Amino acid sequence: MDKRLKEIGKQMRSNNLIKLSFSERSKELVRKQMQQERVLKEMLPLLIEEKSGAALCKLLLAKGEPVIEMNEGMVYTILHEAEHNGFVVSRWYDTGEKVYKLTKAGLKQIATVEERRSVFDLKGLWQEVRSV
Amino acid sequence: MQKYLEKETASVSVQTIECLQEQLMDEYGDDIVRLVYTYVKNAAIAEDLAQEIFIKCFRALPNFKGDSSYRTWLYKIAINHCKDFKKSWYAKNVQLHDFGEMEYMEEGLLEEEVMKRAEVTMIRQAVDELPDKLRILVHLHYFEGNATREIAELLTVNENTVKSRLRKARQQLEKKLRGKIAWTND
Repeated sequence: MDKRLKEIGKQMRSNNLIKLSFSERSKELVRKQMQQERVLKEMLPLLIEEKSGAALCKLLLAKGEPVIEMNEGMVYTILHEAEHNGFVVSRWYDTGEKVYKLTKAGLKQIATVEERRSVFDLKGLWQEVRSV
Repeated sequence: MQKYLEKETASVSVQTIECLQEQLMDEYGDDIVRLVYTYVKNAAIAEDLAQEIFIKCFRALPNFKGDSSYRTWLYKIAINHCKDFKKSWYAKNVQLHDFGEMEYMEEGLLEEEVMKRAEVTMIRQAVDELPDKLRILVHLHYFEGNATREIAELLTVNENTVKSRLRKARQQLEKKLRGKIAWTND
């Protein structure tokens, strides 16, 4: 029995018997999710003061965020999702410009991400938000 | 892989982290899918769960202290994720079993291989029918080649428990397969 079971294991590992694999499609999905989460993390603190999508893109580019260079549309996708999750709110100016601003929930989100490093002064940040 | 262990993951560049993530997915992706399959017995769900597991791991990557190997760490997260899934409403209320439809590669099989395949299918099915606790052990030990000590660490149980469960699994398999397969020497 021992031998037989080990043999099957070997065949499974060499992958010529059973088709079970982590496909390229899955990898791409994971990659995309991680990229979006990372950009969101960069993005939220920048929205303490309200900003338009274009201004936000410029700032992210200046910070050297590699994904943005290729795909600015991604910023808007992430912004919409963040709005949906209640991390940011948006409003329209009469000039036709749409601006986004961090919410209290968004601030909490930053805190959970930053918690581990515990270098984030949450109180200070909240005061800053309120004063704007 | 090892060289990343020394570094402080939290302070390394985006590129380094992405590179590490790629390596982890390339090296362990298939293993994780197979491990999850052992729990859920459904190829599509296994792949979906594997995606979730990698996302979970990569989120926690900055916290990875390096006190175990990446492999052990990934497996531990995967096993816990599978257990949570099995407890979920979805797993309890939706019929998942599809081990009759395992996909096999079809091209150019010799007769001898066909025979062998039939036998392997029978053993696989017998393994699939084992209770969860025993099945996962057969997978980790026989199919993945982990030592009992490593398995004990992964499942946070005593090594002797692992050994006795493996013995139990073997007995159950032999009972199930008696008469169906000619055992050569063991």
